Amino acid sequence: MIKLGVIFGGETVEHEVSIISAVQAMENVDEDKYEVVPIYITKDRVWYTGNMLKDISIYKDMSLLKRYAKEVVLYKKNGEFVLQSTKGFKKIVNTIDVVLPVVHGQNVEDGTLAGYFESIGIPYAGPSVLGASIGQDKVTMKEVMSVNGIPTIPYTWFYDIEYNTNKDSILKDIKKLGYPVIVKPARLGSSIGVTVSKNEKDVEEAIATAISYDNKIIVEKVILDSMEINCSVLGNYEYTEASAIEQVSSKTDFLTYQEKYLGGGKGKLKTPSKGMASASRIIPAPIGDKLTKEVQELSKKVFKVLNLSGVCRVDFLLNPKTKDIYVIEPNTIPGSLSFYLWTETGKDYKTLLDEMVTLAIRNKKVMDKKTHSFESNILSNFDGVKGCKGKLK
Amino acid sequence: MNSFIVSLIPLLILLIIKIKKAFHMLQQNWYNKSNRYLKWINKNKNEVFFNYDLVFFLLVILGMSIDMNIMVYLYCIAFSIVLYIYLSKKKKAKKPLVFTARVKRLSITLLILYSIPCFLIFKNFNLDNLNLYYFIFILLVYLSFVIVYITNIINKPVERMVFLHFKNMALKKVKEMSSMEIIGVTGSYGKTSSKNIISSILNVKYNAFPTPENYNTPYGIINTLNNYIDKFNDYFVVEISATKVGDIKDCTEIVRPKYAVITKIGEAHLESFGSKKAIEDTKFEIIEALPSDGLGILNGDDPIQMNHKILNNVKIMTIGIDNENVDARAVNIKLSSNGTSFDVIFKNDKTKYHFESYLLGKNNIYNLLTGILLGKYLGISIDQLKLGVKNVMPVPHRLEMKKHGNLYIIDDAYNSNPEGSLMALEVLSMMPGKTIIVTPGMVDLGPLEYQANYEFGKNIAKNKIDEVILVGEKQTLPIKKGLEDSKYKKVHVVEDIKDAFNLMSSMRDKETYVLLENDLPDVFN
Repeated sequence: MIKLGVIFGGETVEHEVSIISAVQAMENVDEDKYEVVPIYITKDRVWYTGNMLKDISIYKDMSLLKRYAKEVVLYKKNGEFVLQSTKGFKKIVNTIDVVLPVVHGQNVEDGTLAGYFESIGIPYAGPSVLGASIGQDKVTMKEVMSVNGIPTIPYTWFYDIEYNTNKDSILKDIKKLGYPVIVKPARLGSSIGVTVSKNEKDVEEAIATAISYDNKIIVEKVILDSMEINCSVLGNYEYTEASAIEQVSSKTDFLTYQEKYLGGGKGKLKTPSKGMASASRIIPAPIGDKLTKEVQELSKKVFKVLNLSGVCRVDFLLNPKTKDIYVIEPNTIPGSLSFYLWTETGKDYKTLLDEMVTLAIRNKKVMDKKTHSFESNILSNFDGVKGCKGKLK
Repeated sequence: MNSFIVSLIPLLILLIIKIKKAFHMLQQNWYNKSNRYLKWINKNKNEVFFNYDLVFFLLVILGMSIDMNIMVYLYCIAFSIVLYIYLSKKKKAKKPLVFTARVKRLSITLLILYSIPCFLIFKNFNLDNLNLYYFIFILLVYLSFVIVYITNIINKPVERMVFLHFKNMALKKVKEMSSMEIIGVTGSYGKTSSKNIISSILNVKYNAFPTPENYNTPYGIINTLNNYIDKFNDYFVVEISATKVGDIKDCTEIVRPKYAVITKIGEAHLESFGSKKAIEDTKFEIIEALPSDGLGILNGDDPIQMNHKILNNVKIMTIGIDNENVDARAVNIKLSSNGTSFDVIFKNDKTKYHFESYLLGKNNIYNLLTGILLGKYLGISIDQLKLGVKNVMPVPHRLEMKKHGNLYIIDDAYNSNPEGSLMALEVLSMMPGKTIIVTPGMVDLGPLEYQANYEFGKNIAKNKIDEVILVGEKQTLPIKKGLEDSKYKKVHVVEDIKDAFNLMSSMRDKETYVLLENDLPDVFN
């Protein structure tokens, strides 16, 4: 049995979304092959483990969770990756072999968690440090995509401090883009803090909202008469495959956070186990074979140029009349891991998760074959240490 | 006393050399499994018994009448001279002795065995018996090959325990890794490359692992399981050797394959099998041991495999080039400086799928086909399989193509058998450009050597190779004769491989392919 650590939560605005996605994933892991070890990061960044974390209801009462789940740290000990209790006798609670991160947003999905896994050397499914951090920043990602000839929506960006000191010139730039525009915090996901502005009056309020979430703001032109379509990609730098394409329909101007994850009910988790799968959508998107193929190829290209791995979802805007396609952004660890797009492609959730873990292990094995460090200790010949009792001269 | 001990030092060194050699031979002969070590001794009587050590016994006789003070010097000189001869004759082994844990255990037993007479002698030391002591020591050195054999027998129960310990460890691991599936590869030859190619192709999607090098015995499988397989491996590609009836069963007791591949059935190990039918039946044991949801892959171009009556009804799939009625067939095979390209036709699928590989040779196409068919069966997409096939790298010096200046060198220097040479010729003749072969001919084929080389010459002519460079006038005479009898004209004879190199550079055309066939020194690296 392979011990699969499913890690989720974290201090991020998408904390709850991550819990829903992770619980869903844990329910679908092939139990003949894997033993699931849940690892939950609370909003105050403390790590917990325990089988009760597989159940969504535990998250309703945090005090209960904190009492029964074990507070742990993950590190490498004697060649194993151990979860050690931080309290009492500091017992080793569990071990894991490979990690499946189901995290969304800043402080986790942005490469920080991947970086920790790299440092201790545990194989993990999902994007590498570089891919994850590019994918988290809507500005950098657009810059990388433009260089690689991938069509993106016209935009401008600024820091909050620049806006405070140089408001007029920034508003001028936005005007140049042409209203209506969408104002977004540059490093948040799941449509949080995103507002559409039809004119200069609205935009200031929209920017104020965005600034409350992030210090880097991006303003994009609204592409009129367009529809949002999404495509998922699975693979790594060697080989990628694209899923079926979905059309996301929306009652308002764009998909709000509530629509995406909460299924409409104000703040309540009405259909929690459905998660991202509950947004109103048409699969496959009725765009014809030729466009489907084109979008799939473009998705794979985005996946490659952004150094992604595992499963991602690329969001597009498509003008059905002109056939213009724009990449909005990739989601490096998409909500519900995009499983509903893969089911449509003939890959059930169980298989998708298995392939993701297999990829994680392959990536690790490929990297292990390359030389990372030297067997000998270069410092062993360092003269300064000799005869001075451990002090460097 | 002191001079006595000093005089024994060269003898001691000699003993160590001889024991090392004996251990080496014991190891190469599978620790006397099926009495292979004894057979080796029997075959090498000259080295083991009729050697320079016999001189020492003459000295013992001499010692009975000559003063011991002189004898000590004579012994010392004799020991030193023989030691010098041994050292100067020492050749570098192709596969040196590996100091495994087993060899270490043998060494300990051996040390104890040798200590007993030493202990007795030095405990009751008497200067009057010096010549007798020499005799005993000389005898111990002389019989070292036999004593190593005895050591092996003494250690047998221990080794059995050790084996069982490791076997249980391996069995436990297999049991724990219930989701790992086993792919067994057997056949008379080509197992190692087949195994590696299959594993390499499956690795585009999975974490397959092959038994390393040419490990193909129960011991090798156990070793791989214990030391190489990790819990992430989902497919274990096992090379299974069968040199006599029952060998396959020994292996399948440890790992039970769900998928099995037979490469080719030939006449290898005919002696230990007894009959061709026995060879055939034994190889098919691997298919017959498959579970009902397993899969056997056979070579459709091998009439022995196609005509064999299989005793169970496991699913069988076939690959082939010549046979049209197979599950995966390679057609439109083309060779170029980029390697091999071919189209694959699957049964009940009209599409032809194009594949490219750096590998050369018909056997490798069979291996690739096996990997493709198995990969497809295990859910790898065609696009991914194409990538997998392209990623398979050739084994050095085995039909390995490399660019050298303006020449494409096909390095087949490790090949030494007639079938392989014929396949290499076929590859060369299919190359689009000027073709040159450089060969010193085949050696070590025993009584067949002349005929095999003569046929080789005829085949070079038959395959219409543009130029022939023979290295070494005397040893390539039979090839030359074969060429002349086929009225082939463009033969060049050189004495040294360096001259061959200059010659082929001067002969080169726009696109020139040079086949380096048979044992040539490594000059192109």
